[in-house]
Amino acid sequence: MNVPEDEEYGIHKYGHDGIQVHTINNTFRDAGDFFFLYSVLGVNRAAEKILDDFRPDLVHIHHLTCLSTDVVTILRRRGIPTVMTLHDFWMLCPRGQRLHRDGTFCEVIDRNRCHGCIRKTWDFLFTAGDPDALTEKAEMEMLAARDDHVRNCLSGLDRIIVPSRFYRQAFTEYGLDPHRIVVIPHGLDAGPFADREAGRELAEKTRIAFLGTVIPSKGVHILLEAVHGLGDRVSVEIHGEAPPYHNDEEYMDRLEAAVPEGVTVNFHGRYEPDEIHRVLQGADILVVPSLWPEAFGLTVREGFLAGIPVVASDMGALREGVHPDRGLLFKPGDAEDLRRQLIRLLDDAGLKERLCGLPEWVRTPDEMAADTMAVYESAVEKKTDEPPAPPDAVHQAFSTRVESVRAIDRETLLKRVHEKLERLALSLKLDPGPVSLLKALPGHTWKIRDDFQIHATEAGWLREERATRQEELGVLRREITWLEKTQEHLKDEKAYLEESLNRQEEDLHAVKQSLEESVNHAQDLGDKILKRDAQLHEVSTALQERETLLRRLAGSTLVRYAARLKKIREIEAFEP
Amino acid sequence: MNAISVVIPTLNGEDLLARFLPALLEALRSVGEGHQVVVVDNASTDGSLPLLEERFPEVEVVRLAENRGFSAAVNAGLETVRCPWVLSLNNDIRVETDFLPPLLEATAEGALFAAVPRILLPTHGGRVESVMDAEFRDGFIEFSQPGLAVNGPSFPGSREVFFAVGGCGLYHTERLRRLGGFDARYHPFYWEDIDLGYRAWRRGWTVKYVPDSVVHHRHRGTISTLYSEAEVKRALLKNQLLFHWKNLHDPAMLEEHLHGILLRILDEDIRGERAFLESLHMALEDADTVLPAREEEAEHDGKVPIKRAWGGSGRGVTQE
Repeated sequence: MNVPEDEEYGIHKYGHDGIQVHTINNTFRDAGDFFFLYSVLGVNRAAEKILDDFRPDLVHIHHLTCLSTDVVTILRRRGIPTVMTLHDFWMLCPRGQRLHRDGTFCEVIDRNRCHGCIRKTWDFLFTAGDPDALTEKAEMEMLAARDDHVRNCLSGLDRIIVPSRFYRQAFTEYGLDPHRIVVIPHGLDAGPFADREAGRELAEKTRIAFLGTVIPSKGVHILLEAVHGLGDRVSVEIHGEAPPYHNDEEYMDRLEAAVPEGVTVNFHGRYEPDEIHRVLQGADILVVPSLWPEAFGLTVREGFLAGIPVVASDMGALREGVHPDRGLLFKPGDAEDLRRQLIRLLDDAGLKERLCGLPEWVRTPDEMAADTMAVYESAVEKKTDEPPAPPDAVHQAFSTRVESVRAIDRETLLKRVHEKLERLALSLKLDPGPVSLLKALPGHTWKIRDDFQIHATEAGWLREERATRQEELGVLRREITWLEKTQEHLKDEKAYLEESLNRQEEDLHAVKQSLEESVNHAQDLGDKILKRDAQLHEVSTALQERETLLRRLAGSTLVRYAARLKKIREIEAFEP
Repeated sequence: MNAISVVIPTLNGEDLLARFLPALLEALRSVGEGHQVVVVDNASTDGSLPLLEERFPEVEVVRLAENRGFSAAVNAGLETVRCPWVLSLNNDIRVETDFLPPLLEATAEGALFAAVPRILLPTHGGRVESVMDAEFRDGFIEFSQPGLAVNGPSFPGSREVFFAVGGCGLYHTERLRRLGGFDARYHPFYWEDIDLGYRAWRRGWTVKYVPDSVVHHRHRGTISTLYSEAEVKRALLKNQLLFHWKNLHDPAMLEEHLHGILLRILDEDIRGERAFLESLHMALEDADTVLPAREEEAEHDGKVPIKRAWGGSGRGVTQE
């Protein structure tokens, strides 16, 4: 938490998905030296308060940066089983990721080199007071002091969880007992990715996606360098926000300047965790070009779930996640090699097909939870089994004494102090008179305090009341705004309806007119038809007459011919 | 005369001894022979003892049957000391191998009670822990560490300081013995080193800060993580009160002190708090253990470098 206007180290509580969250406000207002980066007294005190209040059976720590490594010591003192998951190298490297300032991975931690690296990162924390007075030796001591502190912190943990075998190896090399370190890869919910093909958008070019925080250690610039000249085959989709990285606020600007000519690079900005499946539906290849070896490689798994091929830096947990045949690896930081791998994928459809990730390659949240539960149980068991730390007799004695004096009620305490102080005054040859002032105490100041308390409580209620009222007012205001908007909307709708009514009436009128015209036209046609009918009738009558005449003519001609034929036959039949 | 004794109280500090003893031994060798290193073990349960036996056979070990705390352990070591100057050293201090010559040079001063090196706190930005000033304010002597102030001075010059902070100081053995060593009545910790410095000043002896001698205090914040805030606060207040009742003799200052106590009770009461009242109660329970020592202290009235925050000055107080 970092809320400048809140009380420093103040505890803030809120609910999240049914889980009670306590945050401790640390704005680094008090950061005056390097020590503050890992040990903060105010945070220790706040943590004690939370522990007093909550009384956990077990504590699982995920990170202590911005909190305080002393929390582990506090938990150990209270005998609370403690498990910690190591998510990065912060315990070994104050910068967190074992990256040199030029962005290359720090293979061997050498405090002689760290000195310069860290001094340049937090110069203001190393020049406390008189910068000239601080020798290099003194600075090395500061780093050594941090190492001491961190080792002490890590040794207080009952179990350590790491998300990859690579991490176990790294921390074993640092000197942790490998038996205390358990590897539990993160589980991912495959649910949202279930219909991964159904929602897949198709594109003309192969879309190469990067997912994650856009900071130099994630190697986004390597990806941009690698796609030089591939503009007609691929586009690059960068998803993620770009926060400042160790005071470097210009990475995004540098990236934008480094976009190769002719290549489409889309910077999509921040995405929500529950959008990842959707984001990846718009990608054909996922590239994880990190320059540091990662603790796990979450995005690699997301690529698997999305069913697209993954190309990742050949190092640490990335190598472990992608190896042996679940993707392609390239030499970390080597854009040329990344380019070769991308071209392999672009040219070889069979290879691409074979490397499309499967949900089976990723562990489920249930599996992860079961493993974590087992670690919790073993941590509790270890705490129960191990003999309690030998009590520090000096501390024990004083602690008991403080406890017992705190248990005495105020009246009694005042009475006893009064008596004893009078005697002391006499021993010191002082006038014990003023001590009698203590007699007046029980009623007087107590009443002022009580009154004040009552008023303060009342003021608190009023403040709460005001807050509630303000909240209600806010709700009402929002409602009014909504109603006003609705009203506007309805007005618009009314105007639209009126307009469309007018339009329809006009249309109707036009239709009527054209109908009338059609009717008239039809009548004309009817008339014309009647006339033509009459003409036809006349013609037909004339024809009939002509026919009758013709028939008659034909009849008389026939009679004549028949008579002539009869005569001819009679002549022929005449035999002389 | 270059031979010195070193007394190191320890409790479960195996790793610290293993890492920091070699530098100390080297520093001693570089200034001659005949030194004596005594580790006083407060009944450690880790591998401290075997480590000392195997790797540091030249180190003398005083074993205490039970943890008796810092003061008692130093005093037990003091009994075995043979050299005229004794370095009281915490086990979490890493010395620079050339830290001794400047300290030894300082011992030439006739009235020196203790010489304190430039103790740097790597956990506090490498600031100086060992410059101690004091002020009489509202009836109480309060000490301050101007070297720890953020952006404060780095104190490159030699000067007198109010007392030698417990972590590392070279003491005049005879004078330390005459003062009875560290007063274990300041249980469990705090104010025992102030008590020594104050009483030394009253006897006309001085405490000197020697900046050319550099050591690093790699403390683990043991007190703040092992003891609760409430316990630390009460230990400080209780012992501060006992210190005054044992050592403050000026009647005017004593009267002011009594009024100061009453004012604090009132102040606290009106806020509904009681930490001071509780500490006072504990101190009053222990008063009888320190009051007898007053008589002895009364014989001495040398000037103590305490500033007075306001008003005139009492007897035994230097105005600065």
